[in-house]
Amino acid sequence: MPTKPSVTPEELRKLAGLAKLHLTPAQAQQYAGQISAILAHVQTLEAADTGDLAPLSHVLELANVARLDEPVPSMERDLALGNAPGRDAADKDKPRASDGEFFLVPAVLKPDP
Amino acid sequence: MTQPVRDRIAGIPAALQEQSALNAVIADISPAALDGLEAAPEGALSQLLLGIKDNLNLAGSAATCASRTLQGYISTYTATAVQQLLDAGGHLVVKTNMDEFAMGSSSEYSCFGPVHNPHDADLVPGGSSGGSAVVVATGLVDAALGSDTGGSVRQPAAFCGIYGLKPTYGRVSRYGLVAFASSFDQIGVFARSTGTTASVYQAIAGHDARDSTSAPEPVRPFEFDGQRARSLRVGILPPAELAGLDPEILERYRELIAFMEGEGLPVQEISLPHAGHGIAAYYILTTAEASSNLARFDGIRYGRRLQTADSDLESVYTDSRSSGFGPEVQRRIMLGTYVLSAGYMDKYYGRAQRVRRSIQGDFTAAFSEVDILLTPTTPTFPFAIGSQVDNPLAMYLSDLFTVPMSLAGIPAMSIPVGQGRNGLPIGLQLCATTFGEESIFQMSQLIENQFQT
Repeated sequence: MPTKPSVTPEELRKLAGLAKLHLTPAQAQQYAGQISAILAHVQTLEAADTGDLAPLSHVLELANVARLDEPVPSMERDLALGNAPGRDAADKDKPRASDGEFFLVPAVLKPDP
Repeated sequence: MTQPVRDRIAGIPAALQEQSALNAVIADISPAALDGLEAAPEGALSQLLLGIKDNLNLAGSAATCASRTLQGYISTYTATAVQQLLDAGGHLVVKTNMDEFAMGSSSEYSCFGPVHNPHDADLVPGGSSGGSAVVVATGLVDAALGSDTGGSVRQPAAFCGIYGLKPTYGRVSRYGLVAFASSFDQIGVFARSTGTTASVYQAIAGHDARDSTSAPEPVRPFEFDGQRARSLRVGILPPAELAGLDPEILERYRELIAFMEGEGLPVQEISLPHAGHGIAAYYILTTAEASSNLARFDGIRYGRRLQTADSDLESVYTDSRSSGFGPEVQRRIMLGTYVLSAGYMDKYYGRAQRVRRSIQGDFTAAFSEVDILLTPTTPTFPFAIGSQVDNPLAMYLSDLFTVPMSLAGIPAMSIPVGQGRNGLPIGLQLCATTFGEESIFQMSQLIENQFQT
């Protein structure tokens, strides 16, 4: 009998970090229990007899589709930038996420202290 | 344009007010439908008022996916399936409530609050396309689009007492549908009759150059042919594969089999030996795909961003995502990240992919012997709101009859077959081989003619 898989709250916080999620200690505790229960269920797959079947990643077994490399119109810049976060009046306390030309983010490279 | 359609569209705001307690609608877009009425083309859907799930893009309207993450987002383009509804003359009047990013089986995981079942407001309507099912069941609209990844059209159709079709994977373009699990997601149709379901399906089915996974096979038109319907070979599940089914749903299942036999249809038992592993394989594969698909919601280009003067780029990502995604979405992202992580990849993901192939093999074998497979849609009647939100595994297990078809990519439709003694609807599921929608419609119409006249 294989051991029951389980995730500790600490492991889960680390895992969440990889997915760019932050968990409070209470959340980590609750999610760890729930995810351990789900993992215990999916463990039942070890009993499935799949012989030497190849993995199936896609039901239609598709081949790549190629098209001619021709220029076509794409989304207008203003339209795309119009969805930049923090631009509506209700959000005016927040930094604007666009200057009308680009999306803005906090400085990636910091000057030496 | 006939007057009744104009009047019905104009009446939507008042009708919505009346059923606001059901919380089925996120946005009333009927004013735009009224404005566009004169310019709307004449087509197969000209007499239909329609709803679309709020994970489908319609240019100029919000698309929230019922998530705080997409707060403030306005679609910059229109999904192909939605455009096809408009091209066929349909009138889009509401965008409907759902489980956040289509993850759930109850329509409770919405940032706008839970949707209620129109047959009993204390119960869930099913999910994740619960809002679309409700607006069709109440008669607010004639048909609605949802999306079905593991049962998200079929299960709410069963819980609300209407028809709900998940077409073959690739039959309907996914362009403009916000992705959850790309190798499973399929846009589906809710309606109150087989005929309307088929009309809307025919409007949206077909190849789309913008979705390279959409299929080039021609779409077969549906016209009821009693002789053809009675020639279909029917498969039913053996008793062992119906364990745990509510006794009253089982009783109705037996009644329907008796009806088919009475009509002279050849009926035989069909075993799906690997289907029991469906839920486990499904939750590994779909959470893996979701953890990748949902990486794009980072607060940079659209949606919700949390940023203070002290934020760096990393904390913008983390703070925006942590405060934007609800608990079920976070659980699935973490589970997906776990099963794809080094050391577990083959143990979970690779094994689930092999199980997926064995389940597909079960169906291939089944459809060499029968044309239609009849199964229950759900193991139980609708459950109480709040009863399963803290036990995600129990909620997942309620999808056991719908998930295998999604793993195999085959078409399946839940059809209403009356009510239990509790007054709640019962749905059964008709499945066919890949691109076999027309056979499903034939059988559905045969049953509808018998039980709904």
